[in-house]
Amino acid sequence: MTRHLLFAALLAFGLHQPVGAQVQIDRRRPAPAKGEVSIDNSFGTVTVHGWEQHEVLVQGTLAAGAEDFSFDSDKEGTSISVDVPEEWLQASGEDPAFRSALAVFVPAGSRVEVRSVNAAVEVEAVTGRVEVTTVNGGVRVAGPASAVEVETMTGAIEVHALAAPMDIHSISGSVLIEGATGEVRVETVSGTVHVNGSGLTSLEVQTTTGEVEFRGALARRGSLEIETFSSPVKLVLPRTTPAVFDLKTFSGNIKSEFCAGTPVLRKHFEPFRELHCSTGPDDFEIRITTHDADITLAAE
Amino acid sequence: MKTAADELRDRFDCWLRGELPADAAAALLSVAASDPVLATEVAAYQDLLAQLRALPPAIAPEVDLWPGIASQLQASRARESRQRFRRRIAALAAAILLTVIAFAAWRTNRKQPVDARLEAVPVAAFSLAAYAKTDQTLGTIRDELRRAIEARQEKLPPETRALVFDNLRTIDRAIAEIEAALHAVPADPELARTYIAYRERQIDLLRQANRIAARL
Repeated sequence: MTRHLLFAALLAFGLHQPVGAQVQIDRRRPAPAKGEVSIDNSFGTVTVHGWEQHEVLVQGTLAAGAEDFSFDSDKEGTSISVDVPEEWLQASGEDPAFRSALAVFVPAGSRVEVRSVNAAVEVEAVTGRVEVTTVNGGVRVAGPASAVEVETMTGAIEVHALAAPMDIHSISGSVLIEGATGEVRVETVSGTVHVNGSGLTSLEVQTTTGEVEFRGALARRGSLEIETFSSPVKLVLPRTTPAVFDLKTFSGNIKSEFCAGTPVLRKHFEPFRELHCSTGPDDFEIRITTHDADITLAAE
Repeated sequence: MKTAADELRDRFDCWLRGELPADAAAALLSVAASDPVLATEVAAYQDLLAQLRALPPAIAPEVDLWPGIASQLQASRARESRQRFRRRIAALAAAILLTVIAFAAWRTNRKQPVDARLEAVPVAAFSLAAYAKTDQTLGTIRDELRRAIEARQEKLPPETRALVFDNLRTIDRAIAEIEAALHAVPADPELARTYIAYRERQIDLLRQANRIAARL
């Protein structure tokens, strides 16, 4: 009885919205400057924008068959959720009718967490930590987030964030990181990985069959470590880059425009190839290993 | 987003370094025991730690083998300190192998003339024995994770399922090639490290696929 009364009270205050037909939303609630904002929307789109106001605004359209929409908050943070029927999650394909489109405006310093299945997720202008988990939805994060963590299965990931530690995981989704300067870690199975940046201090990439390319300049100190099995690795670095190179491949080839005159070794056994050389102090280490794919170091 | 299991795995790092107080370690192991996959991983780590503790004390060989081995061990430890927890097992395995090689080389060489010692070859049996035990330990983790992903494979879309298993086969082929090379050059520590690293990557891939499948 108490629960029914509570639910009726919530409805009366418009905090929970049972949804029978497609519904337009336009709700706002006060929020702390650096609180947590958690958003769950399985299908459709989620766009999150950081702004200077101390409130969270949700606008958009809810799918006609969505079971519930909740928009709650307390002193620690704000929670936004679109609940959908279980059978939608089990469906073999996505019906356009499943989609809810949410545009969420949050205090810029918020920690933002978005969870989705197929929704495309975009986060912009948030200075707090950003964490996004999807299955098939693509993810785009742009702005000065203090940290970025993204995991998808097939969704493509694109991050344009300065000075953020980034932790990116996908199975087959491609990964593009622009403006990398801090610590970046990427793990894919077959998704391609392209990282562009300057003053990069730490890059760690692991993939089985995803092609990897880094283009940009390195910090004075740090490390870059890339491991693949059957996908090529290419680094394009300024010609004057000082670093220690440690490249190994079991049966691929190594081509380098750095360390002229240093031979690719076959000291252990055939067909193992290695290139160890240095173009400056050992403050920045570059380690690349592949099993049977080529490693290319290009200078520009 | 980290799962509860991932949070626990993060704490394994402190536990393996012996940094957790006894009650915290006991609580960690108790929670891990309630998850079959984590319990298997803990058992495998405990097994590996037991292997390390059971190793004979380091004995320097009389000939010039030791500086090279020691520097590789040192390099391995230095890398270990910089890298993430998942590489620890590879470094430990390399340490096992190198220590056993050092011990074996010392035993082989100590009663031979110097010239004969420089041709020290018969470490293969020792290295393969140590390697086989580590292989078995990692294999236990891999098999458990593979069973878990196979049990969940219906949750993965067919194309993703095919992709995951295709990539596992890619790693299997690479492992097979390294194994073949190890048979040809059994005492090569670089090959042993590569082999263990590949097995670790195989486990990483299975963990990642399991993590995502569990969310579906």
